[in-house]
Amino acid sequence: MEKTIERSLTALLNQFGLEAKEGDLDRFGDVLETYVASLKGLHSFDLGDEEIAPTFDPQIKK
Amino acid sequence: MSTEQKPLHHLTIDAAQKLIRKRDLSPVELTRAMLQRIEAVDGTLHAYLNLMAESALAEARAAEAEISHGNWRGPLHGIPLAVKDQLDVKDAPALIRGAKSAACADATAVEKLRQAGAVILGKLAMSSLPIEIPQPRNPWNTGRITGGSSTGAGAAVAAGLCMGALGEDTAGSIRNPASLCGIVGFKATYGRVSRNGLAPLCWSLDHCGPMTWTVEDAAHMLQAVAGYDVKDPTSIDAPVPDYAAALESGIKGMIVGVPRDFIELCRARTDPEVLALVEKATGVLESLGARVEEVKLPAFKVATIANAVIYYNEHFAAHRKDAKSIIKNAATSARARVYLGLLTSAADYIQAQRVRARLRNEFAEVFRRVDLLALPCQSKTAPTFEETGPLDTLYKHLIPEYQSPFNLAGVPAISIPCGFSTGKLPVALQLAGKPFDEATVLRAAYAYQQQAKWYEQRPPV
Repeated sequence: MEKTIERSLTALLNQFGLEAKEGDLDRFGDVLETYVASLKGLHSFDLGDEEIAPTFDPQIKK
Repeated sequence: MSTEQKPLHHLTIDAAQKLIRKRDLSPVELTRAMLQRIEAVDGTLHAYLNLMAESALAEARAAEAEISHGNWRGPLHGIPLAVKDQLDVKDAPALIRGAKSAACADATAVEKLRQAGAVILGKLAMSSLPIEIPQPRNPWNTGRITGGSSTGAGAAVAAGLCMGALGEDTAGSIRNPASLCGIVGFKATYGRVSRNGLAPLCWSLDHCGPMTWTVEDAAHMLQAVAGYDVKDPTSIDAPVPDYAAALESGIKGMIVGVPRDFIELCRARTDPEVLALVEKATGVLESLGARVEEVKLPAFKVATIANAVIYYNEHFAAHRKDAKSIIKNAATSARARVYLGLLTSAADYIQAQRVRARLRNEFAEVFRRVDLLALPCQSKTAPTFEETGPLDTLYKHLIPEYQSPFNLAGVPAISIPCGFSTGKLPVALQLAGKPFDEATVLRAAYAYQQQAKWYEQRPPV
């Protein structure tokens, strides 16, 4: 796995008091790298001034 | 369709309900036949996690007594159905919640099935469980997978181990097994079917819906479970039309949009046989009087990864307290989902929500011109177990594919059989419609089904 991804994931696991199962970082290296690469594609998509989809509704429906 | 000489487990809901209503078929006899069928083949197919034979027979007897007193509740009265493990069934454990103890209440959708008089046969297997279970096998070829995550529902409906099932779809989990198992799978509009009592995979993408042998059966099941539920904060109070009543209106004059540029984007990963059969099915819609037009939805290009980002991030939030146990004990794909959720930043999540807004706007624009979209449901037929890696579903969620865009936009989408590969495996057409216009999707799917008649072919099990 790319070192930057491994470092990020390890730090995040630590932040939440978690630890990767032995061998998982190697086992999942490729899918995690593919995910991070896909995220770059997501961010490069031109959305102009599009806002986020779910908007907070101050009224409770119930 | 004819009901003569068919074994009871191969009756459709629609055929059975007509017989039950006339008292030509006993719900007890029907339920016994389904239980015998399960006994005979589920040792091979592994569709059921928890068979509730005793309570099912009691429910069938109650239905029979009620109907014999002239109190027929509707098309699901006395019909044996089953439920994906993800939905709570009172007195049955929910393995997805890691629970060995029984749920104390039904999910709203299950409660509505019971109110309609359905007999609940039991809970069905699914992928994404925190424990390893025997994988359900595809009734068309037991060396092949059913597709997930409603794995047991795909196998059970296709093999006649229940007359219909309630599934759940976050990124294709109803339509994927439906397409690989040659059945109908319908994800209605987000907010149409209550999520109360559904173990969350992802709050804003989870959709409950029917999995059945025919379109009219899906209409009957959706009729029972649709509608506003005060217990689900995302439930929407929209009128529920009579879905079955509109089925036979035909599709003359309907405009069907085909996103050819998106299909082109997925072409390299799509089996040419699938493309050819879907093209042929679109031609059938045209021959029935629909007009086919090309449409463009540029956000489709990033809809799959946007759906995955929202899925993994909300999944981590929903299961944060169980993360330690998942990493320690759960199956490969469940552990990977935790790591993917952790790696997803707030900026990623917000970007994905912006894509969602863009996609919603693009759909609104396209649906001003067309009534429906038509495209493949799945890029390939069911692979063998040997060809399937434990992380394949996760990879599928990261590159453009045909199902996730409709979860992201929350619009109704149906998978309907449209033929068989040369390897005799089912292929499916996907039709998607405007928000809350399930009736048009069902109408078009029914028109196609009645013309193509793929429902006449049953798997060899």
